Amino acid sequence: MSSNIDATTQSNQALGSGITISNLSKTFKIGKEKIVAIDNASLHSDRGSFLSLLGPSGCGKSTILRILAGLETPTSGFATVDGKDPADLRKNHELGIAFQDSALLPWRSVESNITLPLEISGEELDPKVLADIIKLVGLQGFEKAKPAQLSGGMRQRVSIARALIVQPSVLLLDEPFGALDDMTRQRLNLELLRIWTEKPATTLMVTHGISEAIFLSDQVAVMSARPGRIQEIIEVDLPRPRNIEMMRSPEFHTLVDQASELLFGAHGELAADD
Amino acid sequence: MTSSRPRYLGGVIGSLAIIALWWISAVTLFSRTDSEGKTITGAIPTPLEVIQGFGVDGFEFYFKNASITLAEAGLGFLFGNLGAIALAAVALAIPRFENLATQIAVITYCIPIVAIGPIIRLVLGAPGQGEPAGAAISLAALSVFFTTMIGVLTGVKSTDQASLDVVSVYGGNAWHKLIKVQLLSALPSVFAALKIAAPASFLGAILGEYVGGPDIGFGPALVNAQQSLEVARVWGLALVSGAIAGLGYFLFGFIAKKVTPWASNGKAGH
Repeated sequence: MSSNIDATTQSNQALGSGITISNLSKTFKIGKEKIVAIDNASLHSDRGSFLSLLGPSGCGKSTILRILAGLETPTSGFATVDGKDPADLRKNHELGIAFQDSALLPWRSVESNITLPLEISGEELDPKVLADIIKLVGLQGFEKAKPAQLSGGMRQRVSIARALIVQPSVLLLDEPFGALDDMTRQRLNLELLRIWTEKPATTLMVTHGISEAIFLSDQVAVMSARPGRIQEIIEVDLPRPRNIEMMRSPEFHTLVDQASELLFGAHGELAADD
Repeated sequence: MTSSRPRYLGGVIGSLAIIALWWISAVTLFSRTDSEGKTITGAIPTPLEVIQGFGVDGFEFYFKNASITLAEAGLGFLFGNLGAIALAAVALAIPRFENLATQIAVITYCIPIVAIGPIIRLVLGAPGQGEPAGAAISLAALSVFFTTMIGVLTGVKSTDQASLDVVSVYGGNAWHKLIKVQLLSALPSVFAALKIAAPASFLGAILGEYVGGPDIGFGPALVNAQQSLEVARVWGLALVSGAIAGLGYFLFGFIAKKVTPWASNGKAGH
């Protein structure tokens, strides 16, 4: 840990710390057709900061996350966290991930779903850490429940708890609340803010929700589709700790307007070049 | 969300209707006149006659025959399923081999087992007195091979990709994916296959007995009863075979419910 802090002071901009995405491109081949999912994307976020990728579907934002998770390999360029490539991060059990689909194992209880990553890494389970995380995500009393007995929102809490149990150096959230109804989604965003404040980790979130991206993030990378490009990076300078009142502030709305303009154009047209 | 009572009731009404139809047709359509001019039943005995037949033949008769046929079916079920699981495992471990493995399974399904029975009988020879027939075991094994192998293959392949991604992101390798996710998520499909395999192995064993030449078993008992025109006994044996096959089906259904509760009530949580 201490060596990483030294590295931060040494070279914040280089590969030293945080998420670094450099000239990243990804082309998929479907039959004879080539589809450019990401076109030459570059990004950097500081260690411990919250970065969101915001864009319409098909802009390659999930592909960037999947490359960082080591689930896809880039066609060119690279992605690292604290100077380590995805394969190393995986090997060292430094990644925490939550998908839109909670991807819980239906035969396991809440508790045993949360501890799955530890079974894989072979780490000793500290019952106190487990209890803390269950409390943090608000699942007390549901430890022995099976996923089928939980609501969609509860399942996402389990999936976030599972991501936190490994005490990850990077947290990857792929539209974690995208499949939930609006009210649950709002509430869970507040919860996520609280959880993230208590257990800060370098975070990359993929979303198509403009206000949640602004509300949660330090930086929002606005992307356009076909080919997936990073249009602009919005620095969110709202102070932390944040609270729900800030969503009513003019500063917040200015940022939301700025992001919408990038996404939809000043006249409400799609900014995409097709 | 229908409760189990109407379904249960439907089954009872259906069964009663079938018995009534059976009874009526036995004493009308299929009745004949004997030499003294009395009307008696012919090819179809009445349910009462079948039940009386059970009394005449006694439990010992059915038990003796069932134990041999069940032994054959059980061994065939065991060997057939082990073979099917082994072949499926090879197909999954070496994807290049999958097409060939599936073809082998399809062949076991397409070969008329009545035709292959005599060949197996010639290869294995006739069974000793009161011993299970090798041909019956083989045909029972052949009857379960295809369904189980396809069940295992589809089960393992239908694993939720996101769950596999999760294991992979947390540093898991192919082995972790197999034992933490794929094997368990394949279970419902494997049990669905075993549920079908249980009655199939019993019926395969009876077919195997027709050609396999054991002196005891449902196969020879049926043939004897038919040749000596013991109509009620033929029907009794057929009904008991059907009941045993059905029991096998329900037994595996029950085990599946106990072992893989998430598969049956997975959607009932809301």
